[in-house]
Amino acid sequence: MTEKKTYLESNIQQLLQAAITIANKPDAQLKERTYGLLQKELGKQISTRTFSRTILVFLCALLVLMSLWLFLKISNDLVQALNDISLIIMGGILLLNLAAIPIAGFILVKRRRHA
Amino acid sequence: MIYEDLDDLELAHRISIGDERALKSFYDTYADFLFGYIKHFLNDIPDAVVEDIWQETLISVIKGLSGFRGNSKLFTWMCGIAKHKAYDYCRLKKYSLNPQYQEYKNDLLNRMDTNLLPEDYVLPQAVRCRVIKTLGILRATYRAVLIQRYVDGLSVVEIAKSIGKSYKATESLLSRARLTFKSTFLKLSKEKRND
Repeated sequence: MTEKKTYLESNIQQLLQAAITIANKPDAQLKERTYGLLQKELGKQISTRTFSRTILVFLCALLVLMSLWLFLKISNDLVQALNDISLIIMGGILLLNLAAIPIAGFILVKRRRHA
Repeated sequence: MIYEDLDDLELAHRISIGDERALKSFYDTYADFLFGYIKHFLNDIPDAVVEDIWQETLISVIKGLSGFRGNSKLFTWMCGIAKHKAYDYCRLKKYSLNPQYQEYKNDLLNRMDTNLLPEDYVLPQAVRCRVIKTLGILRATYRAVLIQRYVDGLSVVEIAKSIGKSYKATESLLSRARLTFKSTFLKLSKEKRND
């Protein structure tokens, strides 16, 4: 029993000493710099996550209402709709949002690959 | 609150909600081990590459902590991310990864408490990676006493003094730590033989 314990102790000592050496640790400066990077990254994560869901839902609802209204106006009288500056701005906003969908998708895929 | 005693899931949760002290505790516990793991895994690859992969891995870990579900130990999960980063990095920079990956001897596991292990049993890359991984997933108290005793070379009396326990209690803690180290090392070694 004592022999077994002695062997185990010596072997664990050998294994640990082979695996843990000063050369296998980052230097103090690098460690400090990296910790700063992690703090920054965590801060970024928190601020991204704290974007209010209520605002997000509100913005989506606004877009849906805008597109419905635009659709109704255009289907009633196309010529008049094309002369109405507020409707043109609204159409522009909707088009911008539509164009952002593939870009947002690309960014999401890229982020997931890096995570 | 003692952050060192938090379980992996709780620690991950606390960090992901922005708890700075949890981040510090996580960093103090795992950063060096992760660096050692990457260094052993990459073997002869320059230090600058190891440092890059280490930083990238830690940033990815922070990004992914809110999705950590505790299906594996936190350090095992981190090593998995590090391995992927290492493969990606080496593929991109055209480094040849592990040209002569040194596996461990088949009878290493049986010889742990029956023979004194010769150098060629202790030094292979796979063994060093596995030792680091084992330490990373041990309980903080076990890890601390094992390192104090076998790496820093402290006596049992000195360890007892540093952790505020009696000689007998410290000896018993060390004994449990050794047995847990052995069983975890064996378990990890049986699970996979490719890291």
